[in-house]
Amino acid sequence: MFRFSPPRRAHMAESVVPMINVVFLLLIFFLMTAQLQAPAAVEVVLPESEQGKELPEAVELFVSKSGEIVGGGLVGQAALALVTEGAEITVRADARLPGTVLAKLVRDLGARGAISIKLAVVSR
Amino acid sequence: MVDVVFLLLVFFMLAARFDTELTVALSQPGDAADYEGPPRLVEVYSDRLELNGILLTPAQLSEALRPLMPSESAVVLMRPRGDADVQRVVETLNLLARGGIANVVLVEGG
Repeated sequence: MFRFSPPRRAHMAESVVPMINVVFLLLIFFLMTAQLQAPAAVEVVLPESEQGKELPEAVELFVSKSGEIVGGGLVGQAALALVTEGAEITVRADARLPGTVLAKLVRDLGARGAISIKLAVVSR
Repeated sequence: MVDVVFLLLVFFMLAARFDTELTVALSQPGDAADYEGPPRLVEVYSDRLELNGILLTPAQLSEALRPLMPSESAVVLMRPRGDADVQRVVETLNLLARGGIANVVLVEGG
């Protein structure tokens, strides 16, 4: 006389709980690591460098290879007006931008009172 | 077990470096107010480098600058000329940094 227990039903609840755990972990991961950064206002290919420091929090100015300046949703001189006394600026200039334009921009930023001007590069 | 696998996945995703972006500090012409010693003007063209108007190879540049520097942190002026682009400017900054010259001021003109 054998008494077989009735076949166990698939534990639906048990197989769902780990999946929810994982989904929440991924959610938290992306929440923690996502850096809210505005998409590039103009297309910019950064120059390659073998030296440099990690990006600080600063005003970002994008400069396209044709010399168009965009920052904070503003274009040209209006973007430059964002630069105030004591501002820290990260210049994201295209690698093919003429160096003379970059030199002029650095002078203009200095004239507006920027205390720190950094050029964004990509690690080689 | 699936939990553990996904935990490991998340760990490696966290440990991975996504961003390879860095910044290079640019000094402003105003920082050159305390300029000392003989002229040190590096002119960067797209195809050549000149120090005080004398054509030099990239390898010679740091060596040629050294006797002109009153101190290790003395300012060197760098002027992009012609159609030298930002990549070229950064390459020259790298070249000077390799030679131990970190205080480079970008100037315009010409």
